[in-house]
Amino acid sequence: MKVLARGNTMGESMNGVEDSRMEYPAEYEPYFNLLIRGELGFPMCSQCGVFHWYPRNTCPACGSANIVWKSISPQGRLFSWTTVHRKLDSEYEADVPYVVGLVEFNDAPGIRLVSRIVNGDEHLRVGLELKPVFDTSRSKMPKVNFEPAVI
Amino acid sequence: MVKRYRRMSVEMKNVYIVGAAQTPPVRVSDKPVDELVMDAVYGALEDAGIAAEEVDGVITDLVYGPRAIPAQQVAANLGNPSMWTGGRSIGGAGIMSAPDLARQALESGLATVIVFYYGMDNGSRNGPYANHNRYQAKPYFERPYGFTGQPVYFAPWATRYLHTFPGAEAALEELALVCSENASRKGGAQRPARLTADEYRTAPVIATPLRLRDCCVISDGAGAIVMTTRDRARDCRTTPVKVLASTLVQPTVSPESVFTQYGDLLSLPGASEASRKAFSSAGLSPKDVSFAQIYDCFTISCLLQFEDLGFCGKGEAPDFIKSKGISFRGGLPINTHGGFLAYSYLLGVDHVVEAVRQFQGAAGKSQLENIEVGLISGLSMPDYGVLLLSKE
Repeated sequence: MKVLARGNTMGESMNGVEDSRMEYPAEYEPYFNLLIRGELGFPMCSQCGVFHWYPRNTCPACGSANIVWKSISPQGRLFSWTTVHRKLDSEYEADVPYVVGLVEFNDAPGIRLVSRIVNGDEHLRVGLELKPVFDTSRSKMPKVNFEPAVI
Repeated sequence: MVKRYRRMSVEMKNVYIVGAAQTPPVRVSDKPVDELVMDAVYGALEDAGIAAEEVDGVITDLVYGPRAIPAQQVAANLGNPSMWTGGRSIGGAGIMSAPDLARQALESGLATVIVFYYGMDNGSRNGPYANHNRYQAKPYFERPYGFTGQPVYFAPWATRYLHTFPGAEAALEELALVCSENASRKGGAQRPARLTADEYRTAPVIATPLRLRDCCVISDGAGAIVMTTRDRARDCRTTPVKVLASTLVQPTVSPESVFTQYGDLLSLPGASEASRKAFSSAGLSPKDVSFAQIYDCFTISCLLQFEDLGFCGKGEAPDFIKSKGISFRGGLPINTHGGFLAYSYLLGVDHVVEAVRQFQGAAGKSQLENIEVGLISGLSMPDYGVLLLSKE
């Protein structure tokens, strides 16, 4: 069951932008609707307050179906990473080598976002402070990469 | 809150493995996987000295199995399409817990001679990636960032381990070298030549910190074991191998979240619980284990399991490996045939076949002396299984 991303669960218009982007499963829609606006948000259980990732219809911690999306400060911290040298995915062969990391956020404890770490190869370390680089220019899917907050 | 009822305790009766077989290790086979499966099944029956028509139960993997060859098809090939069939999942965890399902069928009289088989064609399909690409979240949250492929999933775990326990690189290297040496002794392995430290260190980087030889081979192949009751086992051609414990733990983390969200990326889900359950039901402890076939899809996943299985504490595996030793020369010999890192990658049915051969005294050049208890582990994120075997 898939619906177009054109709907908005935040109750606001999307600045009149006509959206012909890819389709998302319904429970992923809020994430991309936020991302298109240059914001980051994650699902949180309104019953027990625990964040979870990836999006689910019920809270993995307590089973409640009362899930809300919380917009958070997108300043992150590097939890772990790898520099990929081998061409493992034909779609990203041209990018090799690239750094893909797991990013944590103060405002969404317990979850990690998979993202490219750009402009910081020589600074990579656990705990590195990161800031987002939103990429909503594509006609395909909005993305968010991260780079060192201070270089 | 859901009310929990106490489970009835079932007295464990022992299941016996009386036959085992694996197809020759190869990346791409010239046979289709259903033929490989039947080769393994007939090979295991021949090993046991049991005729095909005596088989009245078949178990295989519920997730990978049906794509390879359904249990009903194997049952029909054996001449008895109405026999009892059962399923386990997924992958290595399911393989280690198949004897427990066999026990339930044998105890309740549903079957008397049960074949478990596992076949796969990852080599022909150029790796196991397609299995993971089926997860719903992947095309939206992982693949767009190039987070694709098993080495990429495990690399951040290795980064995290090396950050938390500095100096552990030497242990990863030792695991690769030991498995390679074992494979070179065994013969017939997919990576037959003995790896040198220099070759390990200069091999191409796949995904930091993992180099080529930190990653397992990819295989086409199949393995099978024959299980039965103690009475029937006595009349078989081979020395019966006793199943001391066979456990499966399926944690409540979803398979698509596990690689990035589980704990601190330093402990594998389900592993310590599956190990505790196995040792407790066998009345043993990790100290009683003579040799272990540890799920070595990567050096890092193998390393973590020394700790999660209870052979040593968290962060102590590098010291354990160095001080106790893991080669055939003594200590805790592991992956006596070379494991996934060098021999073949059939998700652990190959590890089970080698362990059975050890107890049969038929392991050839990898044969260990004076073995009492063997442990085989199965990891299929997020599930985990442990199998404990002994001689009668």
